[in-house]
Amino acid sequence: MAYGFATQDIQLDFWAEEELFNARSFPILIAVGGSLLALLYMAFPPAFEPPDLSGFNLELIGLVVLMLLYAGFLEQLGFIVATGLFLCTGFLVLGERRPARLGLVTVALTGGFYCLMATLEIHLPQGGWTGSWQGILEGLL
Amino acid sequence: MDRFVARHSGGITVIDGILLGLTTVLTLYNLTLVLAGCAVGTIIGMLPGLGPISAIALMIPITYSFEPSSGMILLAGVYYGAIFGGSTSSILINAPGVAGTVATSFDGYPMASQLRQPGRALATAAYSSFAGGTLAALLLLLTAPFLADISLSFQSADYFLMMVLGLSLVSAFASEGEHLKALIMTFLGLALSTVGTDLTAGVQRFTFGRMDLIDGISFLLLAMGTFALSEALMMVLHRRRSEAAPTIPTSGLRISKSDIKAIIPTISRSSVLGFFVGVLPGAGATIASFLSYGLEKSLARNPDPRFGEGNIKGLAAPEAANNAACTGSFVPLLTLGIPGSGTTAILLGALIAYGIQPGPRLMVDEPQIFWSVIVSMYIGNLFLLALNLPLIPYLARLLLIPRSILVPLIMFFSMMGVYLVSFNTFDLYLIVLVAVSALALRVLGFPMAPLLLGFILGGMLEDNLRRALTISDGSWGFLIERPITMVLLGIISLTLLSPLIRKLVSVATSR
Repeated sequence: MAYGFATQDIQLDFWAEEELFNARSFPILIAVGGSLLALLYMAFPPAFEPPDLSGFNLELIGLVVLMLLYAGFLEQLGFIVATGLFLCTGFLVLGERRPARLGLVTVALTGGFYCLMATLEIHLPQGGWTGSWQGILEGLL
Repeated sequence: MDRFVARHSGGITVIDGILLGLTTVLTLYNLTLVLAGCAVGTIIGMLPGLGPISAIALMIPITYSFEPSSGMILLAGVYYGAIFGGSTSSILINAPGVAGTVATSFDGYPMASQLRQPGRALATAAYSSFAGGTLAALLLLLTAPFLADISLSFQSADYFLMMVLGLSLVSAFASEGEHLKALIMTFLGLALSTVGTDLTAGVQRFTFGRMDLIDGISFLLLAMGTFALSEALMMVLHRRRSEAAPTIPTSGLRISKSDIKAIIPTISRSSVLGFFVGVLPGAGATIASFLSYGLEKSLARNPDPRFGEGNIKGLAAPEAANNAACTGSFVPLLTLGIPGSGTTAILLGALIAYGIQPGPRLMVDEPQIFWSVIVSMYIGNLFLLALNLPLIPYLARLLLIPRSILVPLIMFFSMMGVYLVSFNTFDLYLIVLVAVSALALRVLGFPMAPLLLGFILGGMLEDNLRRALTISDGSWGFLIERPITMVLLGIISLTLLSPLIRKLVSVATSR
């Protein structure tokens, strides 16, 4: 229904209103078809089985939040730092406690992926702080 | 006959074309490129989140320094390798890197995880892919000049109905009582495909004023969000079930004689079906694999194990069909200049970047490219089998990765696969939203494959409907104007009504 109403927000040029098939036509067809199916679904609901939500816990919520944080900080922190933190935290959230495995996978994957992309001349985010650190290092050296 | 062949082959016969292709491909340099393409494609395709589109996109800059024919040979190898690699990740961790291998996971993953036969599943996939690719390459070699004419004879109305048929067949993939849910998901996919700019009118639709949505939702994002990423979250949600120790094949990498006997008819049917579906612009590996899966499912009588629970035919059919369709999809690309899928659209971009205009003139002006790509397809399939079968035990070790390591890895590759296409963090937020929504829908029993199919076909469906309606001056009479459209319409009606018919028949027989 919401999709159907939103089709009216599609801005058409004045001549397009008279066209046989304009930018609104296909979305309207989808909205009509979808609404009919939804009505059928409500009229003949399938047998309802309560979903198994036994695993719905802090791990799941933690991972979703972690992904959102990764999206938010990837370009600020740069690929290496953001991915390292993302992977390490992800492993910890899911119960990985062996430091060797945790560190090895994180470093190998982050470094390996970065090198692969660098070889292919695909530039991953360096992070907003890289420039200032480079400046400081160059100043010291 | 001679005139026909000559007219369509740019003055050379098919035999001459094959010889020209062999001369071009059978050099150390080009053979190395085929091998490298297959190896790189397999590795990239195996990584959840990175399918052929990403693999080819990553390799295109490297090929700019090559001769056009060598570049296309490498990219064709990457394409095949990535499809095979995608099948491997579909089977082992239920995370298809590409829509064309989604149907592979229906029975491949249960065979590997529930039946504890990962070696058998991977070997079946390898042999089926090889057989499908080989049969399709032969079909292509024999029929290439004629196929262009067949494709050209299809009109917009036929394309439109072919796509509606593909969408209506989703009911064949849905389990008993879930047909309506599958159709609702198809419409959701169609609705999502309308997000972005309508290229014909230049009008923005459902972008809510956001620049990030002007180009629409990326197919890769939706595929990764609904399959790989939501699968990773599903593994966390169904924690106990997923923590069972995986079985790694140390032996049993061969399939038994009875298995071979069972799948030979399936592979033959699926290869032919896959090839011809792949030839149709806009169809491609996804529809081919779903159609062949649906066909085998409908042909099977009392299958054991059932489809969706590790049936070998349910694995062989989509594998043979998707590889055959990959070969077939080169026909509209090379002869008409029309990409049959997202992957061939990228290949079209690569050809244009080389300064070559694909289309009916390609066979005349650049026969070397046309025939070398065709010949490299067969050689690529040989290399894939030689490369991947011995590596199966090592590939299968992916199953040994514990959940605590695997889930964040899938999350990383899914998110990075999407980011590498657009370099836009908005897509990262969007994929998380898609994955969480997909998780909720999967928990409620809504299937994801129809959504993806609806999304892929949405744009093409709209274009062909627009064209058909314009040609018929706004009349829907085009649906019943010609015999082919009437036949297609009849099949669509039967497909849509089949759940109702089955129910009526079962009620009648129970009385």
